[in-house]
Amino acid sequence: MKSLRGKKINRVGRTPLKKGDVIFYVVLLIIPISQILIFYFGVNFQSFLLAFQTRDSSGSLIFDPSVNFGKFANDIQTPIFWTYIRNSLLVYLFTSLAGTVLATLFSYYIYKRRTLYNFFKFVLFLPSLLPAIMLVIMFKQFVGNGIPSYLNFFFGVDFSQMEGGGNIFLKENNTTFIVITAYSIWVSFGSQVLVYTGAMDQISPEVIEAGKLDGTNSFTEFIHIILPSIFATLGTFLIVGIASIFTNQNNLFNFYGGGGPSEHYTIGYYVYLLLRAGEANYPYASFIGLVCTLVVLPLTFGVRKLVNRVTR
Amino acid sequence: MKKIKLGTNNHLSSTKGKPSVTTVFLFVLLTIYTLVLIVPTIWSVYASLADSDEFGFVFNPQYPNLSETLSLSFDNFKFAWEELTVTTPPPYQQTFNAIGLLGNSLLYSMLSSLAFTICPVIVAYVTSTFKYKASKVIYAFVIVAMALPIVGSMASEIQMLHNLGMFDSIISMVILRFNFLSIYFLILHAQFSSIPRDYAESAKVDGASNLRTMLQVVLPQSLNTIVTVFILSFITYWNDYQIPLLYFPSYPTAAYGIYMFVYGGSAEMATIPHQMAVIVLLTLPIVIVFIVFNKRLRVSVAMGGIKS
Repeated sequence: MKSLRGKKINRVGRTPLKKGDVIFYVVLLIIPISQILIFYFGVNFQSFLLAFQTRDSSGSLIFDPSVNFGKFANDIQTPIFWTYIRNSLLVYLFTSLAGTVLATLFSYYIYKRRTLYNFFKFVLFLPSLLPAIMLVIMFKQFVGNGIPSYLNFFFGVDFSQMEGGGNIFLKENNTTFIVITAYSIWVSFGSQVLVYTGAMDQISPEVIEAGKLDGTNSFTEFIHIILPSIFATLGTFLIVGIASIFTNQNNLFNFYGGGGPSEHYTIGYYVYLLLRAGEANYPYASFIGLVCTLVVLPLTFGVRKLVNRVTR
Repeated sequence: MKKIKLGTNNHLSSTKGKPSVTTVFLFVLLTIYTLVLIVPTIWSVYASLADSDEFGFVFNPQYPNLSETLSLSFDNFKFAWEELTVTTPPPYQQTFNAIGLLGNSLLYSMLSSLAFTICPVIVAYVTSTFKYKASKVIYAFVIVAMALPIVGSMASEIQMLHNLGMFDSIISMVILRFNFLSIYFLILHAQFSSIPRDYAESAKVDGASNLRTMLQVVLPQSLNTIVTVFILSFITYWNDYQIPLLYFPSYPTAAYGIYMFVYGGSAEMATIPHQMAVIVLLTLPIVIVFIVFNKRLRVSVAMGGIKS
């Protein structure tokens, strides 16, 4: 079969093999593929091996799975380790659900070019621009001192008399975790809004106009046209994000450096601290990683199936 | 029935007259978000100019005339510039001043973002252009690799760098970043696939080589997305201090310097005005980059590869 330009096209739509094209193809791909072989396959294979190794007294790696199994068995028997797991799941739920819902709504506002949309787009991107430590100091001051001060000024609530003093929201253990998680959502909109707005821009204007002729308002347009149209993009983020359940540090390192209160730890923060503590901990960090992978693997495929079912 | 002009941007323009409840609700939500973000940001810049001895409870609304109670000056910036030093851990024990830290940051951010952008661009271009079996395999592999949640391979990655004699080097980080296993590959693949083939085919009929077609015909049409990927990566790497802390401790970056200034500095450094001065100082380059490239920050593509 020949195209209008006389170029051969085979039945399955593949490009026919031409020597020059193949050389170009191979030359461009050789370095990226080599990189993947070493730093994806090599690293993950080594990570698997490392999970069953330990360091002897001279610091050399030796094969002894019982050490990491033993450490892990000890860890899961302590209630605090379950707190890390619970925190990791809560952070994922809040940042994925609340974060994605808000990011989608904000993207819709920007996509519709409503009042000050360009300004809001900049504001939503601002946290991605500023260093995390700056945001954390700002946030600590604002939530810790600013909000109690304003509540006192406008409503007469005097927090200084309570336990924790003026800095009530960040000193009380039961509110600190919520406040830090809220912070994580607060700073997460930048790139999400950018991608979701991009996806909304791809929706055919005819579809929106047809909806208007049928009498849709902003809310029904969002629910019945916009959401289904960008669900593939949302689904992609949702699926890819599952791995972050056990890697998300919930910005604890930004808030506390290496000395965060253990009741706020997530698994991600715990593993990072293990790595910071030195090479001796690498095998155990890999072991935790392996266990977490085994936990999130079926979860990922489950969510993928769910996303596929919704978009079908 | 509402009157609608076809063929215009009706789908984007707000309906004349009363704004909808959804629009008002979102406007209020965004305004609250803006206030919560902008007020502390202005406060931060203000704090960086305030006198450390006089600086107090700036948020307190009972002190509305801050300018009367605080004297503003640029002394904090001078202090921050002079005191911003990082001494690397043993056995290196090398001291970097502000210029050295900025140099490391620039080198790390620039080269890493270039690597992190160029690699997916190349792979997305060739796999979307040449519909070989290998292209399908690579695309499927990226989807599987991204959906496959491998947790905790960081320890092994550092171990691998040790084994290859590549640990503690910025160039090693650049090699590590030359990777196409990211969501940007999917975005760029969708972008290149959406460009009509006619342009590339015409260029080839006119005698352009594959390389020339790629560089002069296809890539310029996707420049906004490519620049967006680059800028987003650059910002991420510039502000990142956790990876430098683990992967190349002998080459501290500016973000690492901020971290040390805030968490490991002297009592004098621990004052909010000094900390804010150093942060504002080291944020300026990134703000300039953002202002220069702001108009190009667009991802004009919908992608949904991974879910299928």
